[in-house]
This record gives sequence, C-alpha cells and structure tokens, in this order.
Amino acid sequence: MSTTASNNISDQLIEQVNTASDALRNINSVHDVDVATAPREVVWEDGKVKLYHFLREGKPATKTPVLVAYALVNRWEMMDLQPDRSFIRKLLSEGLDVYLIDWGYPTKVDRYKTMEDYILGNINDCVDYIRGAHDIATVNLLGVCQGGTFSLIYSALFPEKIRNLVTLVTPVDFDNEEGLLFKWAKDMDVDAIVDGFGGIIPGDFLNTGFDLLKPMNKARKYMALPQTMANKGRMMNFLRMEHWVADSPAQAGETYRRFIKDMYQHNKLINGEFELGGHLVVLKNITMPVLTIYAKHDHIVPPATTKPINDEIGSKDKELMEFPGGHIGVFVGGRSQKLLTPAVASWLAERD
Amino acid sequence: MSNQFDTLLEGQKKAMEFWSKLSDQMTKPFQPEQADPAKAGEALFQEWYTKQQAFFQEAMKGNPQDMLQQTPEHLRKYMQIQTEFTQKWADFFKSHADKMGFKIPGTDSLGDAAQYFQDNMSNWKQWMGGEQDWFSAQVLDKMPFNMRPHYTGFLDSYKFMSKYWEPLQRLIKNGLYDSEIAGKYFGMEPYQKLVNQMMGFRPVGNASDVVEQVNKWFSNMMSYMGTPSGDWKTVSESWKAQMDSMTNTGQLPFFEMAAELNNRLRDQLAPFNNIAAQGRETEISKTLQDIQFHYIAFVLKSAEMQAKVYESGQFAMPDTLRGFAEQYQKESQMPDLQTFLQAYLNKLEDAVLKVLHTDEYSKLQSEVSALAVGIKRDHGRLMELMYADLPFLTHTEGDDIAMEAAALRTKVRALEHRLAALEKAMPPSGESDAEKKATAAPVTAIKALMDKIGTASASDADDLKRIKGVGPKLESMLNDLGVYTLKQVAKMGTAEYDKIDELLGTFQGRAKRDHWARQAKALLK
Repeated sequence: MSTTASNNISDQLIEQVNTASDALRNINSVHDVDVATAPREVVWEDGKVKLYHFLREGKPATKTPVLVAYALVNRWEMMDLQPDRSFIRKLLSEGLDVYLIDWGYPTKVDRYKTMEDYILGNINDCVDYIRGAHDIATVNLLGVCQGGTFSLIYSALFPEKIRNLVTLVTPVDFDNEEGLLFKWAKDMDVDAIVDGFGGIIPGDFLNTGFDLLKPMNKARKYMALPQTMANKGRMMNFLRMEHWVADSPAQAGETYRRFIKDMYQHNKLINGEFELGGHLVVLKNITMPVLTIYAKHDHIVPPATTKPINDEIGSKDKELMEFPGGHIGVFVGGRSQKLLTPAVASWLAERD
Repeated sequence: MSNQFDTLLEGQKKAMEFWSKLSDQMTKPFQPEQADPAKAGEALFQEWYTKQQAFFQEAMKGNPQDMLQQTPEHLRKYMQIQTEFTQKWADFFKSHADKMGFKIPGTDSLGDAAQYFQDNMSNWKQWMGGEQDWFSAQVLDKMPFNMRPHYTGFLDSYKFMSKYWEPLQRLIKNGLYDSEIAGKYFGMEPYQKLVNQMMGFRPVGNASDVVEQVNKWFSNMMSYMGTPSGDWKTVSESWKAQMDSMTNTGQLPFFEMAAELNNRLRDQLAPFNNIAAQGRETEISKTLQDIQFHYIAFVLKSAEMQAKVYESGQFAMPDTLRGFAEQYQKESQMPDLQTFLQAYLNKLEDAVLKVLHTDEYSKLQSEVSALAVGIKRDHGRLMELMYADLPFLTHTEGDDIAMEAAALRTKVRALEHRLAALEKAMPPSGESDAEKKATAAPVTAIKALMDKIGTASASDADDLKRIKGVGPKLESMLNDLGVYTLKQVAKMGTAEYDKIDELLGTFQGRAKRDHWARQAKALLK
C-alpha cells in the first residue's frame, strides 16, 4: 500500500493512515463526475442520433466547419473528458467551428439498423445540415476509430461534399494478427453472437474483450487506488475515465455483424469489394486532402492497420502523422494538447 | 464530512507535529551535568517509545485488510498511549522544568495539550460507540454510487493479494524450499482463484458436479411441466454413468470424449423430438434439451479455455519469488508489497498474453462465447414459449417492429433521394406542371410494371427472400410496389429490372445481377 521511502515501520503506518484518510475525505466530497463540459447545442436530431454544435466565443478563424464522427463503440465524451485537457475545447480554441454526431444508445428496436442507415442516412444528413446551415458546398470530416472507417466510406461515395478528411486512429487494413481484437474477430462466430443476443450486442460484451487486451490492468488499477484517491485531481480524472469505460453503448446487431464480417473477417474495404446501399466503395474516389493520424503504441488499432490508407486513396495532398502514444492518449494526453490538436487545426486552416 | 472523523484526523496530525517538536526541544537540555532529571526523562521517553513500538508491532500484524478494519480500535489504543504519556510528562515537567533550566513552554500550554487529548478522546469514544455502523453511515453510505464498485473492487483485490504477503516474505527469506508454505498458498487452487479474480472468469469447477447439477435442473424443469419423459431419463442416466466411468479411468482425453458423446447423444435424441414435432410442449422440451446440451458443452469448453490460461502463468510466481530472493540474499533488501505485486503482475500478464495470442485460444474463446449467447437465446425462447399466453410483447413480435422500422428508414431515404433529384431537375419557377408529372411518374411506372408481370396481393405472398440477393428489407420494398409472388418475379425482364431500380432508388442493379427471373422460375419448378 505504501511506497514510502522510510524503513521505519511507524512512519509507514502513519503514512498509510494519512493516505487512507485523505482518500476517504476525497471520495466523500465527490457527488458527480463531470465529463463533456464544453458548452454545445443540439442543432439536428433523428431518433437517438443527435448533431451537436459546440458554442464558442467570437467568430471561428476558418469558414469550413469540421464534423466529428466518433466510433459506435464507447462514447464521444472521450473527446471532452477533462475540462483542462479536452480535445474538443482545444479544437475550438485553435479557431475551428466544431460539430459532432452523438450516436446515442441503440436498443432492441435498432437491431436492424444497418451501416447504410449510419453512413448514407445519419452522416449524410448531418453533412447536408451543415452545408445548408452555412450555405457552403463542402465540409471537413474528422473520423475517429470506427467513425474514421465510416468517414472514409462516406468520402469515397460523396467526395463532392467533403473538403478535407482527417482520420484519427482508424483501422482500414484489417488483415492483421498483431492486434488481439483483429485476431479474435477472425475466429468469431458473429452470426451466433448477434442472433444469440437477440440482435443487440450489449456494451459489456465488448468491454470484456477490451479488458482482455491487458488482462492485469484491473488488478494494477486497484492496487494503486489509495494513492490515486489521496489526490483530488487525480481521483477525479480516474473517475472520469472509469465513467467513460463503463458507459459503453450497445451495438445495433446488423451493423455489428456487417462490420465484423466485411471488415475484420474479409477485409473488403481495402480490397475494393465493400458495397454500401448497392454502390461499390472505391477508395480511389477519395481525392480531397487527407490527414491520417495513427498512434505509435496503439494496442487497440495497431499502426499497421491504419498506415495503408494513404496508399489506397486517390488524393494528391495526403499526409501521415504519427502520434507518440496509445489509443487513448490521442484524446486525453498532455501531448495530444501540445502536439496533435494544434497540428490538426493548422492542417485544416491551411486548406480552408 | 465535517464531523468528528475529520476533527479527529486533524487532531491526530496536529498531535504528531506537537510531539515531534516538543521532544526535539525536550531532549536538548539533557546534558550530562543535569544527570537526574535527564535520566528520569529518558526513562519516561523510553517507556513511551517501548509502548509505541509494541503497539505498532501488534498493529502491523495481519494483512492490510484486517488493519483497515481495525483502524478505529488501533487509533483508540494509540491515543490512550499518548494521553497517558501526556499526563506523566506534564507531571514530570512541572516538577523538573526549573532544574532543566528553561521556562518555555509554560505549564499552561501543557495543560492545554492534556485537555486537547481528553477532548479528542471523548470525540473518539463517540465515534467508537457506533463502530461499524459509523463506518457504514459516514463512509460507505455517503460514498457516491459510482465510487462504491471501485472501493469494493479495491478491497476485494487487496484482501486477496495481501493475504499472501506474509508467506511470500517467508519464501523470499528462506528460499523456495519451504514446501509447506508453497503447497498451502501457491497450489493450483489459490493460483486459479487469483487468475479468476483478475480475468473475470467464472470458474467452471468440477465438470461432473456441474453436469449433475444440470441434470437435476433439467429433471426439475421436466416435472414442473408435468410431462417427465422416460426416454430422456434413461438416456441421461446411462450417459451420466458413462461420464463417471470416463472421468474415473483418467485415461481418455476427457474434453474431446465428453464433447463427442454430447454430440452423439444429441443426434440420437433428435428423432424423439421429431415424433410429435408440434405444439408448444414439444418445443419447450426440445428447447430445454438444447439448453442442457449447450450448457454442458459450454462448461467443457470453458474448462479447456481456462485451463490453458491457468497453465500459462504457473511459473510467474516462482520466477518473481526467485528474483526477489536472489536480491534479498545479496542485499538483504525486502521489497514492499506494491513492488512485489507489480513485478508479479507484469510477469503473469506477459505469460497470459502469449496464450491469448494463440490460434487455439482464439478459437476456444469464439466457441465459448457462441455457446454462452446461444444458451441465453434459448432461454429467452423458453420463456417466450412458457408465457406465450400472457399479454406481453415477445421478442419475436419486437423483431417485427424493428424490421418494419428498418424498412421504413430505407424507404424514407429512397424517397428523400428521389425528392432531391426532382428538386434539382425542377425549373426555378412554374413548379406546378413539373410537380404533377413527378408525383404521377411513380404511379404510372408501377402501373406499367403491373401490366407486364400481373398484380397480386399480400394474401398470395410468397417468401421472396428465397431469391438469392433479396433480404427482408428488399422484400418489403418489393411488396410496397405490389410485387408479392415468385410468379410475378418470373415474368420480369430487363425493362422491368430498370423500372424497379428507378422506383426503389436503392439496390441499383441488384435484380439484373442476380437474375431474379431465372431464380424465380427455378424456384417455381
């Protein structure tokens, strides 16, 4: 429990008692865990899906707004987890005008919601809304993780509506054995899983998989808990992260089935075999400027699954950017604030 | 928590500060020339010190979990030692201060200190009065709901791991040859418990016990239904006997044999299910059997999967111990629990991850999860069958609603698409003519289509999904156009395919690509 330098047993005990008492005092002062604190308004909604426009003081420095499409897995709040280290707030302070799609929490009635519904429906509707609201022909699209895969598909089908495309830690080449998720998904009996769950995959099921990627993390986390909790700031950040981890929405079964089969198992997108709503998705149709960002130590989406994007698209203006960290560090790390967000903002501003 | 506990802890800290400052001051004047009071003072301090040392030795016994629980009692004892010493010191100081040659601090401040402890003691006693109740009321019950799982998670993990700390230290000191301790604490069972705790396995335990329980559950269910099946019972008992004999000989590859037997029994029982394959009771009984078979298969597969993980990490603990034991022999340096566990967890994780990366594990995990959700699905189906007369919306009915919602989404999108195209084509003014034409177009197109392939209604509907390439959504869209039967589809040609493409706006080229008419003709034969 103690990492005290002292060998004196009584010092150790007193330090332990003090740590524990600080921890107890701290946890009793917590009544709510605040995440997603950047002010925003809902400007469009369709069922459970909402489009947020983040409020800002003063006019944006760019005239083309950026639409953020997060993954269906876990929640977008990761991008605005701590008020002092928020990806969204930083984009705003760098002068961008930011919209974001909140996918909501699918329930049983959404079991037949398809990738067509998400991409040709929701994303397209949001893009059209922004084009209409700003009276512009093209918007910037920033896709995160699975949302990045969706954004690539969308940009290949509607290149005329996208000015610039940014993909963050986005898997595109699923033929990978190094990432455990990629390995396991290949053996997964996805029909049995989707049908067995009655068409809606509980978030806990996905979380179990994520937990197994670093099997001893839970034990480590709890061992360090008294020290974590003895510091109010660290404790709040711990709680915010825990809140985010536990807040895992269910997945619409048909979309999950299709994504696992067509992407993880058959790698159709990069092989040019993926079809959406009767249209073949050709990555070469992506001709707008593209910024591809991967995290060097990503154990969820290994760099090898991301990097090939730039070889497959038709863009002349394309850039590959390495972030020195892991999948989560992209959003909350100090380096994200210092390096990544300003780089994204200036890349977009140069192509406004 | 602005209550006694706060005050108390604050007091505790202040008291510690006070005493360390005071003892610094007090020990300064103990010069050789002031032999008498110095000796007396030293004796007093020695007594105080010995008492405290004894107290800490007592308090540090046992694992940190117990320590935490006993904290109130320990603090009370500790305060008592301090109070006693304060009284003695106050008396001593009053009589010897002038001999020691200094005036500060005045007797007043020492009186205050004694008072201070006495006040705190009464707070303390109040707190102790409630004991565990107090702890629940002040800490656990006030804890925000999102904090509780972490707190209990921490206590569980910590309790579990710290239990081993004392024997671990003994092993580090004595080398790894203390077989009594090694057997008691680091046998298969405690090790598996640790892995279960950390990986979230629900251990399957002894497979034959589980099988027995499943059988029991199954016969209970059968009697609950009032139609116990003789056939099943006979088969089940001979099966169980066979399982027992198999596990006892210990010569057969248990998991494979059991799984094989499971499959064979299933095939043998299939005809019984089909004898009267109608009616709810038959289906209930069939579902029950499915659940049982899947459950047993699940238990066997889980055991196999878990065994792989258990095997993988079995050297992590001895390796970690060896490392620290070598360090201890060289430097007599004992790690603290945190350091030790971190080293151990890293080793264990490396070993476990190696297994998680194997093809075998990946396949087993896939089978286990498919079996588990299969049981869940069958169980849902069972409930649906058993309560079919009650006015609840069943999963199957919910499915219909979800499917309709999906079809509507597609349809809305197609209509929006069409609307956008029409708006684009529309001249800026003089909209009325174009609009009329636009609304008339689908109606005319549908009529032209029907003229060619003939009309039909929902009551004649065939299952159009039998045509390769037609899913539930496309089927319902075709129905909306008035296409219900294979006979209609069989009459289609290229012109009709184009019309359908135009009317649906989505699934472009699908009919032509999959040769619907040819397929429909084949299906009609």
